[in-house]
Amino acid sequence: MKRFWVLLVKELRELLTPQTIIPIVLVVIVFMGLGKVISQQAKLQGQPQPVLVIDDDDSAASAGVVELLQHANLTVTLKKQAALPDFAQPLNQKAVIIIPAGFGKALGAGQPARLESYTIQNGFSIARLADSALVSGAVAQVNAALSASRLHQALPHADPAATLAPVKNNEHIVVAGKAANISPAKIVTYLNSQIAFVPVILFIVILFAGQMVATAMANEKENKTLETLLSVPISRTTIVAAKMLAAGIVASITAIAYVYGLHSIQSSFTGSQTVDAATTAAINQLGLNLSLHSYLLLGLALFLGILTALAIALVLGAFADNIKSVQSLIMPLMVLLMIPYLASMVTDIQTLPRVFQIILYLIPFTYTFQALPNLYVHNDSLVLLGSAYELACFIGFILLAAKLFSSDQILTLRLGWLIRKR
Amino acid sequence: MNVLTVDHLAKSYGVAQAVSNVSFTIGEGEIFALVGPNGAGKSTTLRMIATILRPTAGTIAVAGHDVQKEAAKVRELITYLPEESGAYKALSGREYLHFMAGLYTNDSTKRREYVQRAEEIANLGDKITAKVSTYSKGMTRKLLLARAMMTSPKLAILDEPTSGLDVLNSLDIRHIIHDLTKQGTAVLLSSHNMLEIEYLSDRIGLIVGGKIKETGRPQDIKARHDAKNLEEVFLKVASA
Ligand SMILES: Nc1ncnc2c1ncn2[C@@H]1O[C@H](COP(=O)(O)OP(=O)(O)OP(=O)(O)O)[C@@H](O)[C@H]1O
Ligand SMILES: [Mg+2]
Repeated sequence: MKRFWVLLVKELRELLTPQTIIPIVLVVIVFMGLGKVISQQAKLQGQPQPVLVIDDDDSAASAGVVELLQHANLTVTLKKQAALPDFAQPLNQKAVIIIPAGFGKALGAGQPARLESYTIQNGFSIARLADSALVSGAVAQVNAALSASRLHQALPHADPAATLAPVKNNEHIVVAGKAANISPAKIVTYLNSQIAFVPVILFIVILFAGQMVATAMANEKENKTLETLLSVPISRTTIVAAKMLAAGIVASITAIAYVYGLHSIQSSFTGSQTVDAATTAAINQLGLNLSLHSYLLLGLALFLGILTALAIALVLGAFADNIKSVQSLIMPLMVLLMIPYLASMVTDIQTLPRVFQIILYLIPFTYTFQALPNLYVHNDSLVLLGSAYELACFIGFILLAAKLFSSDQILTLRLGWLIRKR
Repeated sequence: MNVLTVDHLAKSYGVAQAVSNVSFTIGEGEIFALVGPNGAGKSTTLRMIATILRPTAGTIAVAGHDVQKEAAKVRELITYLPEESGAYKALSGREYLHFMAGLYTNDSTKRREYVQRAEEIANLGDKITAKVSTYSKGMTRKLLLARAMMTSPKLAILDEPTSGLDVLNSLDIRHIIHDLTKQGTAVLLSSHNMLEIEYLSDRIGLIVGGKIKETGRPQDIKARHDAKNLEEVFLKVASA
């Protein structure tokens, strides 16, 4: 036991070098910085946006529209009878809206009254998407207000809201046999925000664990320390176990760092919209808040996923000559992870053609990626079954690794390379 | 009892026969050298004795323990210095010795003793606290040699112990190997340096093409071949 500890400490020291720690720290810092930037942008977006309104009509009706625009979260700079500004010059406005002469007359006559608008698009990123809908959103609010007042004039005894939307839909959602009185979109949006980053984390952790252990093997071979290590009075099982545990620990540290970083991005998106009481109540009613039991099952699926990746990487690492070869050697593991990862992000496995389903269900990592979705619909037995399959895969690969380690293949695979080099 | 008994040992890599029908013994405190041209099968033989390659045929016993059936026990009794080997780059020389000592004993006093002895043998001065990645080839070799000797094993297996060392350091190492045997350690080494072997070994085994051609004391072998030195013997046997 003490010698296992000695080995473990050495493995950790080998893996936790500045070269491995700095990128992790950097990623976390960058993610947290991104989170800050995003939440600041979200705040800016919520504030009233500046627009220039040129009122060429100068009527009571146009003044009414300007007032309505001001209520639609716009900061209006008003100019009467002015020319269109020169767009080549800097203009501190998000949009220019022109109310042409004759606007009030048309409105009074019940004809469509025209506005002209110029949206100043300062970029095409997702963050600028809101800019593009700024004017149309405001005009929609103006229209809603005007039609409500017209309805009121025409039908003084009717409720304008009921006239505009005569049918009201009281929404319910049913999940795994339980119903709740809430908009399904609300629940889906909420859950998505909660679990969207889980597959990324799973992917990173499992891949990292594999990469770590393959790197540890490659290190031994590159530094020519493996032969010595195999001759010391320590069982091969202990050597392998120490390597796996060290890789698991480092991968977990990485995972925690990434979860922290991603969480700060995630909460910057959702931070402004606090979950309302109705949603929380519905989540509870539907049993969509994961119980301790579910978390344990999720942990089990992740744990077995990591173990399987470690065992596969150990076998792959046996073929490594040096550190450089790790990148290419780890490819098979990468593919095995990529397929279920992408599948879990884009589609429901059940909707795929049979062949793809079979491929996916043969890959042990599928069960790790599917664990959370299955737990949300209380498909616990499927998660357990998947875990059992992963365990079987792990045992298979670890036996293969043990065979490599206790035979001379672990050395001759490298020796073959040495001889070719001569 | 012999510290090492090698009996009809053979090893093939696929179809290529690297070692065939090799037999020899080493007694307590004895230095035995395997001598032979490149590719003769020296390293292959040493690796099998060091429990890291499996023989295709034959048996090896270290102090009566079978290398294949009681590998764990054998590993307690031996140390092995591979022909091409290094130390962990992230560690300093001292940390490396401390790590390796921890693999041979659970007792912390003993562990410190091992490290101290190794530091004396390695004789690297201040450099012992520097990272192994900053060592020269010869410095690394001395560190590894010291590691192989610090536990005073029953049998030390040294594959070309002085390769890469300058004359002074080689001389040092020869003295250290000699001293080691005074405490009862038997040494099995391989080398290309005939002078060194003549000076150092009690007995030698001449190996060519995976087969032992001669075993005996250097002076006896020289007399048998009517040669002035081992180099002449080597030339005769290797070209025959
Ligand atoms: N992993 C391997 N796969 C195939 N053949 C090998 C392997 N290792 C060694 N051999 C072959 O076995 C034979 C003996 O090699 P070995 O390394 O034991 O020689 P050696 O006597 O130590 O040589 P040198 O003096 O060059 O160190 C050589 O012909 C070599 O090509
Ligand atoms: Mg050799």
